[in-house]
Amino acid sequence: MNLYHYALLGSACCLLAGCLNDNDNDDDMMGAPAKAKFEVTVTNETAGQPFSPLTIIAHKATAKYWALGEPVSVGLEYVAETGNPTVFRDALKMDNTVYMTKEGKGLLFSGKTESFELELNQSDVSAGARLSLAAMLGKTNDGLVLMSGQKLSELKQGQSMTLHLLSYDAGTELNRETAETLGSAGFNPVRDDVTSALTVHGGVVSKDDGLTNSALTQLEKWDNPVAKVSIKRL
Amino acid sequence: MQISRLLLGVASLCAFSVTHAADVEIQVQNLTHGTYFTPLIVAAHNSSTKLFSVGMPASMSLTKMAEGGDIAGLDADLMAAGANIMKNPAAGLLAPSKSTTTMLTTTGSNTYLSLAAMLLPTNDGFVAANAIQIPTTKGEYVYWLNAYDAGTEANDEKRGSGAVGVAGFPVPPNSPIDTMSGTGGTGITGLTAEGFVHIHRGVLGDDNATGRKSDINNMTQRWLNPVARLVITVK
Repeated sequence: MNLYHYALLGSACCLLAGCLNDNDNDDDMMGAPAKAKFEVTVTNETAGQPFSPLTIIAHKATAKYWALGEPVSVGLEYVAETGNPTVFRDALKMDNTVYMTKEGKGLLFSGKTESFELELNQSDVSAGARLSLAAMLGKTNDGLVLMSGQKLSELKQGQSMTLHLLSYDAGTELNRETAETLGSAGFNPVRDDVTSALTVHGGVVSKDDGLTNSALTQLEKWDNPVAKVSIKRL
Repeated sequence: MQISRLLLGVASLCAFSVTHAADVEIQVQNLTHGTYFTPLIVAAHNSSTKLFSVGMPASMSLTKMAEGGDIAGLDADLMAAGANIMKNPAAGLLAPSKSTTTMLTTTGSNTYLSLAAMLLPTNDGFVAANAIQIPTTKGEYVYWLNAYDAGTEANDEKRGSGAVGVAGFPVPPNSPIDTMSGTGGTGITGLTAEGFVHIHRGVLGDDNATGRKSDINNMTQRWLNPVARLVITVK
C-alpha cells in the first residue's frame, strides 16, 4: 500500500545543506516575495501507453480538479477521451485556486522522462500549496494518469520525494477499445460508461487477451503504478 | 499513546479501570470500475488476531466470506477475540466508485483494524485490510487495499453458488451483478483451488454475453489494484 504514496527524503547531506542555506521565510532586501523553486520529473513507467501532453498544476491546498468517486469535469473528460488538454487548461486559467500550470511539450512515451521547473511564492508553499498532474493514457477510451494534490511544504531545500501514480478511468466512455473510440479520435459528450465516476482503471483487455473488436494489443496493457514522479526542491 | 496513557495514569485515582476507548471514523471506497463489494465486516481487535496470512490456507470463516459473502463466521471469530465490530455499514452491496463511512469505538487493547468483503463477480476474491495498526495521533490516514484470492475455489468464472465447496460465483437476484454478468459460459476448466491466500491475479472474462467460457464481462468487470481506499480518521 505504501507503493502508491510514499515519499523518500533526500540524502542526509542534502538535508544538512538545505538547513544551512535555508532562507525560506525571508524576503530579499528589495522586498520582493521569497521564492521556492521545484523540479518535477515525470517518467512513463508503462510498456506501451503514451501519455498525452502533461498538465501540471500548482494550487491552493483546498482546491481539487477531480475526485475519486465523482463525475469528472468536461475539461478532464476531453483530456481522458482525446488527450487534448485545451478545454481543461482554459478552465484552470479562469480558476483563482491555481498558482501556476506547466505544460508538457508533447506525448510522453513509455520509458521517457520529462522535467519541469516551477517557481512559487514561499508564502504559498508555507500555506500548503499542492501539486497535481493530469494526462491521458493515450491508447485507451478514457484512461488517465493523475497525481492528486501532493503537498510541497514538507520539502526543504535540496530534498526530494518520489511517488508512483495510479491509472484511472474517467467514467465517461465505455471501454470498447475499438479504433474509432480510442486515443485522439475519441471525444463524445455522451457519457455511456458502466460507472459514471472517476475510479481506478481496470486495465485494458486487448485483442490478444480476448476482446474481439479491440484495436489494442498486449503491448498496451499495463499494471499499476503507471508513472514515477520525483519532486525536488531546488 | 504515551501521553494519553500518562494522563490516564494521573486520572486513575478516580478512574474505575485502565481500559480506554477511542472513536475512529472508517471510510471505505470501492475504487473498481465494475466490481461490487458484498457487505463489509470492519473490526478493531487485539494484536494476536488477523483474518488471514498470505501464503497460508484460508480459515473456514474466511472461506465463507470469500466464496459467498457470508460474514457470520468472521463475526463469531472476532467476537470470541473481544473485537469491536461493525457489520454491513453500506447496508448492502458497495457499488463501484461508492464509499461508506462508519464510526467504530475501540476498547481496551483493540488497536488493530481489519476489514473484508467479497468481490463480485469472482469465485473467491475479496478485498481486505488485515490487522493495520490504528494510529493514535489525531488525523486522517489513507490506506490503499488490494484484492486477494482465498485460494479455496477454482476460478471457473461461471455463475453458480456462494456455498462452500460448490462451484461458481453467487449472483444476488435483481442485482447489477446479474445484469452485467453473462450467462451460459461453460466455465474455465482444468483449474483447482490454489490452496493458499494470495493477491488475486484478476479475472479473465470474455466478450460473449451468452456463451463461451466465462460469465464475467472482460470489458467492464475487471480491476487492477488497489481496489479500495480506506481512510481512518482518529478523532
